[in-house]
Amino acid sequence: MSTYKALSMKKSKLKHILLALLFYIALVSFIVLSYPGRDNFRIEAVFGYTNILAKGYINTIIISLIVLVLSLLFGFVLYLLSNSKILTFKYISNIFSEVVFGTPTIVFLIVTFYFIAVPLNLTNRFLAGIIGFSLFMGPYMRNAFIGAIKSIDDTQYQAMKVLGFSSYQKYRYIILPQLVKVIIPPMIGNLAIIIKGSSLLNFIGVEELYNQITTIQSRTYAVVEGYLIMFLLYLSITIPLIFLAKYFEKKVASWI
Amino acid sequence: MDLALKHISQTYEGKIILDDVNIEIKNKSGIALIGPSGAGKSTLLRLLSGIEDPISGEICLNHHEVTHEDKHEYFKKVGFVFQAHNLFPHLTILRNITLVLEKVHGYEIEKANKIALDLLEQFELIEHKDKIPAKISGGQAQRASIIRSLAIQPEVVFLDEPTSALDPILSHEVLKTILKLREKKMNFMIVTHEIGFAKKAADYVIFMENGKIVEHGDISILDQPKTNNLKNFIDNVSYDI
Repeated sequence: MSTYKALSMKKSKLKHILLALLFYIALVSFIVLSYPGRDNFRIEAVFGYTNILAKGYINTIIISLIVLVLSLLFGFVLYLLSNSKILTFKYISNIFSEVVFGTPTIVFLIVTFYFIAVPLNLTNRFLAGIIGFSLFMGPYMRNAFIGAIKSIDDTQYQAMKVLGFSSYQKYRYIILPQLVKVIIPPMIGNLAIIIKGSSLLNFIGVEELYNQITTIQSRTYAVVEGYLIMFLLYLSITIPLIFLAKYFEKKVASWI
Repeated sequence: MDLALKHISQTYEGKIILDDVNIEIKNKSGIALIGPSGAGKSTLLRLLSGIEDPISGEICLNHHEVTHEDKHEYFKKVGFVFQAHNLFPHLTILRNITLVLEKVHGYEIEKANKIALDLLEQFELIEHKDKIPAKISGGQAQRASIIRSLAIQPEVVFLDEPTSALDPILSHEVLKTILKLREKKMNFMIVTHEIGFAKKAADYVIFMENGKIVEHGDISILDQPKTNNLKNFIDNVSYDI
């Protein structure tokens, strides 16, 4: 009985998902049919430059993954500083985080490039962009760490203490396994932010997806077509990530 | 168990919780700590278990000088059951028990499993062994945490109001589990508000009020209290409506 119920619930959910998709197909068709420039729409013009497109796509993925790792490390340092008993360290971390939270991404990237990277003779834009963006993402990662550590409540620390676990054993068997599971969903969320935000590296001349598509646009004059392709390519990276995050969230929710 | 407290005091943020507590008890197996909220019962239990240190005084439990002993070694010899079950949420019930045996007490995993499975069988939790704590009831989780504290064969198990977070039905199943400790001749000390239960499970009672031990003695003092304080307390908690 209960499995039957679950099955019929799944079926009706599927129905609603299909209806929602149908709504978007109708919407897109409407936009396409009423689009004034549809007679000049030449999407194939963009496909003549697949090598440039591929370079941008791959660079975006590489940049995002490197920024993920670097900002994770930097965010952990910020987390340790904000937890430090030495108040100066705590404020160093907190002030930096507030500055980042109060700054638009593009402004931060441009400022770090022209006021830090260029004076330091760091002329490799790819590298400078990665460093600037990792600095920017650090405080977001710090917050993910703060949230994850909070999920382990005091009662567990008391239990670990009275059961006689050593410090190493506490981290190895109890704290870290819980942290890893709790921190995965916000980390995937941050990765999606990184991928979307990496498009702004175009403004300091990094050859990522956005940048490469503008190159194609200027060669082919297929401006609208270029943006459409860009739109779809970004979604092709972020949508699977969103599903991945949801999958892990469900897993974590089952034992909290 | 034998217990001796000499001039034990404890404060929190300047507030006196325990005020020069002294007592000597010999050869008792079940001790119930009773008294109104804020009397210092839980604090006394935490001092005895080594979770906290007193600001002054000496605690002897059996041959352990608790206040001077290496806490890490002492923790291996006592069990503690908290108000909430405090099981680790990412581990199964079985693993919650075996992790301590394996990592802290150095048992082979096969032996740890055997000990844990035997206890789960005895305490009727065997069918839940592969579930995580969130998937069983509060009463079952509290029983599992009692088993976790028993598995290491401690000299004494401390129970700090183990049923206060549970509804009456679940409390009942936990209290039945604690009665089994008595059948097993296990030494235990429990902070409880259930006078009727204390009469069944314990053989010695300590009554506290305002950070002091006001009266203590064999379980019969619950029927014939000597002090007015204990008499009033019993009258207040065993009301009929």
